[in-house]
Order: sequence, then C-alpha cells, then structure tokens
Amino acid sequence: MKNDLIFDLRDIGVRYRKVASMPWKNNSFWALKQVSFQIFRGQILGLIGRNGAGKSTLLRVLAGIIRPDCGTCSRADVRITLQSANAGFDQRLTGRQNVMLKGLLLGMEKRQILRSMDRIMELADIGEFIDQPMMYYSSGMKARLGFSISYFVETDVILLDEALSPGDAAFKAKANELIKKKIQSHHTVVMASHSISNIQDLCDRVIHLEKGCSLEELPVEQSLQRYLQARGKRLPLDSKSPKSCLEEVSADR
Amino acid sequence: MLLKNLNLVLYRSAAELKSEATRTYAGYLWWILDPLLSLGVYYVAFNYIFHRKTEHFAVFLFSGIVVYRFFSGTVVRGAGSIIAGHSLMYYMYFHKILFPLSVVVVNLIKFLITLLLVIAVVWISGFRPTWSYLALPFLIGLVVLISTGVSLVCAALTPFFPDFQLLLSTILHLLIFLSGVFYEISKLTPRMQSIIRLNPLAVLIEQIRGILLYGQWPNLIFLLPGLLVSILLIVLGWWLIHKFNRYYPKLR
Repeated sequence: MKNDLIFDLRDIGVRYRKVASMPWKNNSFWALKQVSFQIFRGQILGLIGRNGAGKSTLLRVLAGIIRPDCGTCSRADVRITLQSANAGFDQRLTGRQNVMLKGLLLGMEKRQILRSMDRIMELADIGEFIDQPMMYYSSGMKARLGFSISYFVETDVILLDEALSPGDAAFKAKANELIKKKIQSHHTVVMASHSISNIQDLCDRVIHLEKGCSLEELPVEQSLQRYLQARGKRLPLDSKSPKSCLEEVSADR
Repeated sequence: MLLKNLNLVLYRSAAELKSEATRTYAGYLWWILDPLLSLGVYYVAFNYIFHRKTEHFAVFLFSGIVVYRFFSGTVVRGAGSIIAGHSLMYYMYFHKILFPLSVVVVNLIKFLITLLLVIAVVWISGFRPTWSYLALPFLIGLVVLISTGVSLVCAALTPFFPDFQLLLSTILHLLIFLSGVFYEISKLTPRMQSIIRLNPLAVLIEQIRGILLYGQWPNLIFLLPGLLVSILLIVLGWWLIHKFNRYYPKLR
C-alpha cells in the first residue's frame, strides 16, 4: 500500500492574470513556473519556501481548486481537504449553518454532519455563538470553528496551509496536539509551513519552492539546511542547544 | 452527485433566506412589503402624475412589476454571485454553478409568495379565476427559465468583466420600460409592438396579465422564441461556468 501514487506533478505552472487589464498590457504573473514531484500514500511532505514562493498556490492545485495552466497534475481518486486558518465562511450565516454548508461542500452527508455537530461545537468551544451570524465572531473564534470543522471531515489527504495553530495559546496547544496525532495516524499530508521545527518533527520529505520552481529534492535535514543557508541562517545540527536556535528561526518569519 | 449538489443549493438558499430575514426588524414581512412598496411608487408616479388611463391600473401594474422584479433581482444578484463567493471557493473545490443557482432558488421562493399576493389583489379587485389559470404554471416556469438563463450567463462573465455589473443596472432600468410593465403593448403603433415583442419578458408579462385580468389563454406562438432563447442561454451559461469552474478561484 505504501507505494500507491497519490499525486504526480509534472512541470506544473500557474499563471495569475490581473482582471480588468487591457489585453495589450502584460499583466500576468507566473506564481508557479516549474514544479514536479510525486507523492505516495502515507507520506508526510513539507513545503518550504519564502513568502510568495508559491506554496499556497501549489496546495490549491493539489486540492483541485485551480487547474494549472501548463504541465500535468494527475491525482488518485481520493478525498482531499485543504485546512487553512481562514477557512472561507459566509459571514452572514450562523456558525451552525456554516458548519452544515462547509460539511456539504466538502462532500459529507447531512446525517454525518449532524452527528459530528456536538463534537465540532465542543472542540471549537464558542458556546451560544454557534447560532449567531459569523460576522459577530472574533477572529479567534472563526479560526477555532474552521479548525474544528476540518478536523472532523473524513479525508484521505490533508493539505495544511499554515493551519497548525489557530486561536489563542491554549487552543493553539490543543490544536497542535490534535493535528499532530491526525498527521501521524494514517493520512497522506502535505504541509506548507514556516515552522522549521514542525517540519523537522513531522515530515519525511521536504520540497523546497523558490520563486515558483521546485528545487532538486534532498533529504529533510539537508533540504532545511539549504533553505536556511539561502536566508543567511544555519541549522546547527550538532550544536549544544539546537532547540533555541530553531525557535529563533521560526520566530523571525 | 447531482442529488448532493441539489441538496447543497437548497440548503444554502434556505440558510440565506433565514439569515436575510433575521437581519431586519420586519423580517419575512419584507417579502410582501417590498413589492407592495414598489407598486406604491409606480402607482403614484403613473396614476397621479402622468394620469395613465389604463383600466384597473393597480392590478395591471402589480402583475407586471412582480414578474419584472423577479427577473431583475435574479439577474443582478446572479451576476455578482460568483465574485461574491470568492472567499468560499478559494478554500475548497465545488461546482461554481452553486452560486447562481442558489440565487435563483432564493428569488423564486420570494417570487412565488408575491405571486399569491398578486392573485389575492386580483380577486379583491373583483376578477374571478378562470380555466385559463391552468396555463399559469407554464408561464411562470418560462419566466423562471429565462431569468435563470440570463442570470447564468451574467454570472459566468462578470468575473472577467467587473464593469458589466455596473452597466447591468442601467440595462435593467431600460428593460423595465421595454417590458410593458407600465403600459399595454397592444396600444402601441404596430411597428413598435413588433419590436417590443422581441423581448421575451414583455411577451410573458403581457400573457400573464391576459390570464389574470381577461381570462385569455396564452398564445403559444409568441412564447416559443422565449422558450428557445432561455434553453439556449441556460446551456451556454452552464457550459461557461463549467469551463471556468477551476479558473474562477484565480480571479480577484
């Protein structure tokens, strides 16, 4: 089972075009230029790269939200969910309606969602706000509800867009714990993250994006080292306190 | 798959109707108040200021306004629906036809309720139901089809041409004058009549009035072009939205 091919990306390119620009002006921008790699079932893959390197766009291609403008992306017949801190809610609807809607959009059955509703509410811990329109929510509450919904969606592939830690410190710890457990359970995971320590802890492969291109794949440690070197930092693999340096690195994003 | 999407459209529409109602003091009452108020405005303008001499002008006007309002509401909200849904579609994949279709459902439910109001007003004014009422569902169906068709095409194209959304309100403003909402088409010059009757909406409004006020059976020959145009527009709109289904999330 380990060798099932889930994603097969060959020379993917994605171009954004500015709306309402005159045809004679060149207003397009290649967010991804040349990205190729394969992901097999059960792998946990980290995506690293600076802001604007194309990580979020790549996750959207993997999730099937956008189609690449060139190259081929073949995908096994699996359920894929994208988890992100700002989860795309309809602000005018209540939390409960949004849970239902999002569940349906993600392909769940109505009964299934109703069954998980209590657990979702318990995890999100937003009390009676669940029946208020979401425009009255604080951003922390939105993030918590978003996390809770996607946590309970049954899926084969998890795509994480910096979604490891929504909300306040207490919820952050809880969410981090849960997501790590979920990652380690059985899923195929692609996580875009700036947190070097998370990638080091969780991932068994790393893809390094640079200006829309995927660099040659190296083992995790070497790849992180290359990434940090490019930013003028070093990964002190054999220094006395690696943890403190890692925290410094992930804090300065 | 289709059933699931239908479920989704219905759920989203119901949620939207509910949330719309809870945002105002009068709530669901607005479904009736809104068309009545707009009837009031046009009645004052045309009856007292322009002194129109159409018989039973209030009923005449109301039946036209309600149909026109359903059309314009569906088209305007539909045109902006895919743009407005950007925050949702950027985070998960689903078919974008969901947006304009739920606009249609939301407006249709309000429309059906105001239609009951229209029929009530017609009866209060002393008209009696006739056998020709049997043709009413067919005509209402045609109104829904043409509105859906125009709405889908507008929804598919506005993300590419945002200016169109602004232009649309002017076009619809012109359309209310070209749809015979305020006047009887049959009293125009023959040349003008044939031009106005090119507009399927004008024909539909005229025929619905024929049923409600004069007990006339609709003229199928006049309705056929409208039916063909609606089906064409629905197919075109559906095809466009399907084609750009995974492209819309890239547009901002």
